[in-house]
Amino acid sequence: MPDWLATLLISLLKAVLVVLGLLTTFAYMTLIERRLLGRMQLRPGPNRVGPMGLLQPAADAIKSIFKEDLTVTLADKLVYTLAPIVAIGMALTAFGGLPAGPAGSLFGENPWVYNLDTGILALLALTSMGVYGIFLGGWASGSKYPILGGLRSSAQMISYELGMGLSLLGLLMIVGTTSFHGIVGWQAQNGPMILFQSLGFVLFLISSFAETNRTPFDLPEAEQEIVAGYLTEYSAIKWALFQMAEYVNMITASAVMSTLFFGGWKGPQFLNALIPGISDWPLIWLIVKIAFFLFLFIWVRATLPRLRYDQLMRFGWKLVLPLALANTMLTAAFLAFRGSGGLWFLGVLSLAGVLALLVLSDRVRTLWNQPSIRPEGDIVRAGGD
Amino acid sequence: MGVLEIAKGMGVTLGKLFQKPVTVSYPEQRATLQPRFRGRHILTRHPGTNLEKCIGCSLCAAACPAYAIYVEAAENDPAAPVSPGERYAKVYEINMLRCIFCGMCEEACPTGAVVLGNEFEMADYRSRDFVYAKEDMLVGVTGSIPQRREATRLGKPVRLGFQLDGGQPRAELEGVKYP
Amino acid sequence: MMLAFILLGALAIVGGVITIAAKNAVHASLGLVGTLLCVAGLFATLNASFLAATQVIVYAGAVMVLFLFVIMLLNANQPVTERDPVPYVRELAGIGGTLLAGAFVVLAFTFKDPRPLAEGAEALRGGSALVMGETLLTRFLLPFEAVSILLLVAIVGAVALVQRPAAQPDGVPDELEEPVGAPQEERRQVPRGAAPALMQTRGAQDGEVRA
Repeated sequence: MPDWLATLLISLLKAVLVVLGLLTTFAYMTLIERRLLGRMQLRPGPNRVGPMGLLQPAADAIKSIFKEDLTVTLADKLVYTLAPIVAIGMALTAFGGLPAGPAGSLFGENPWVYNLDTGILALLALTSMGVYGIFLGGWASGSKYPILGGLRSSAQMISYELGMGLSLLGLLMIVGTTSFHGIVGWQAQNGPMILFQSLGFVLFLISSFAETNRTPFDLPEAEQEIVAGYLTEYSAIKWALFQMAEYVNMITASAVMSTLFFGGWKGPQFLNALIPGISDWPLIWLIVKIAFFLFLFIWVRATLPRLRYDQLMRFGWKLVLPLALANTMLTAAFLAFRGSGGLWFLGVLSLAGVLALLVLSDRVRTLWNQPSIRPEGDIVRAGGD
Repeated sequence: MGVLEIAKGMGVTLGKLFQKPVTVSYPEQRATLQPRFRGRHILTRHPGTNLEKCIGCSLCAAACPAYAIYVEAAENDPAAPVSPGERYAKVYEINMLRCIFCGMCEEACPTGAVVLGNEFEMADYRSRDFVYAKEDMLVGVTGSIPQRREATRLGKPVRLGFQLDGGQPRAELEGVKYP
Repeated sequence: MMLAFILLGALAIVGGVITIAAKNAVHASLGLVGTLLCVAGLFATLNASFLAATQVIVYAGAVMVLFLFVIMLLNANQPVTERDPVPYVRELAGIGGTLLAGAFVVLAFTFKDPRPLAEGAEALRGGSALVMGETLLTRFLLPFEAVSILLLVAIVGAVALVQRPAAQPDGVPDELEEPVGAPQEERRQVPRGAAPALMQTRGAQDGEVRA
């Protein structure tokens, strides 16, 4: 077998494995999420199918595959079918670039599907393409609620993409590379990035909740206002594909947060004293970190109610974006003028920023939570916010 | 501090995660009902003489807002009376599909004959099976029509899917025993 | 790599043809998205990965979404069936296209490398963000800053354009005050700020309508 063919086949195999892994995780995420939500609401959650409800994902899969696949008469057939494929395709592709272990650690192969110099940029590019799935799905359904849902969700995702990208700039300036390997390697030497970029991490966390359409930012699916948003006219497997895309995006966001701010696939160094080389084991550390963030997603969903749409937009534009810019400026200024000062000072500054934000959280709330009732006699004009 | 409240809320949900769920796995475990729960009707008897309390006056049928009750009265045979009065209910039927379990029949009854019990598991397949006759509701009959049918088919006693908070049915349900 | 390049190039052309030929505006813009993605792929095959990522983020991910936004909000996805609103637009476009093609041909035959390709490739070293940033902020600093000022001007201009006119003394903005159905001539004769007079005009007209 020629060399390039072997490489191609191995890459393909790894891609298939990643896809299978992601989809299995998605299936069991739905179960775990429902169980955890149930327990947090003092009920057991789904426990009927199989022992402890463990076969529930299989039942759900069978149901969504064999359900009638409806197509609305007014739908644009091509785009209507294309939209869920775009959504899930982009979501799955985005995950492949994340390294899960040191080079050559997975049976002699590299534990990633593709490795780009522009790792984080490529990932942002792919996730930004994910907007199309939602947007086109809403438009192609040919009915009113989906188009409203599609419009507001794409507006939301575009708005928070900016804050998301900007909140990473400080990190990129410190590390000086956009490749995931470089970022993980830097953190292995200098400690996890969360220490130096806590403000950036908080902003990134908030933006990634908005980007993955999770509570408290799950406006696209606000049942009370727009039925199910862009999902309204979808059924059966196409609906399941959208759902998959949401969960895969969630997994990817968790993996990105672990990689960028929590040391990626490397475990904590002090454990090496107990078991030599444990911090270099592939997969395990990344999976643990992803699991933590997935739990955070579920936990927040169990706790927080949904924001109103105008609050969401104001929050994104008036708080997250300026703060991300401020974080960028702060980091840039520090790097330019630090002289021989250590990075820990930046960490203290960043932490002070987060604390100030927490203390001032009631004051800044007026930024996005102003009462929209105007005094009588003031003319209400069309448009606005 | 607005964020503090969010943190408090997160703490509450996390704490609940480790609490025992309040819901029970219903068909396997018995649900707990309050004694005042209004379920399927019971036609009671006088405890000493074992005569039916119902005297066939049809006041329950008149009071019923859903027109679910049908009563046909007949004269008592003095030698073997069914009820202590002059007349008794020859036919006493309640259509459980129409019944809204409001308890007005119980309030209207002058002798306390019809009382709302606690049974609620009455789901069945055919609408004619929802018309409960006297022999389905007289005190001592445990279970709804489908439950008793299922019990005979399997040869097991009727199993009611609930238990009462406090264990005792209320006083009006004379002679009724629930698990 | 060569195969991928040719394939992506062909796909980019197909996307471009769809953009022009599609009757439905949404399909057309999707064709454009395809073209932009293929161009990003072309960049990637040429080892310009930073450019590829930026292309996708900026053009396919942001600009085209805004295009689609406008199409959907204005419900412009109906096929155009009327005659061309601009006279001779096809002829003019044909002439323009021919001129452009001619310019490209001339360019292709007279093109000279500013410096040898190998040296350029060496300078770009795989086109990562580091090299791009270095080049942009040292050698091309002036054009880079000029472009950013241009974009700033565009943003300020956009904000200025959507600014609502200040309210008149009576609290009614100008455009709301325009009498319904009033002939343009008459409106021009009324001096600005003469709101009471305008109100009277409108009242008189309302009376006429009622009569």
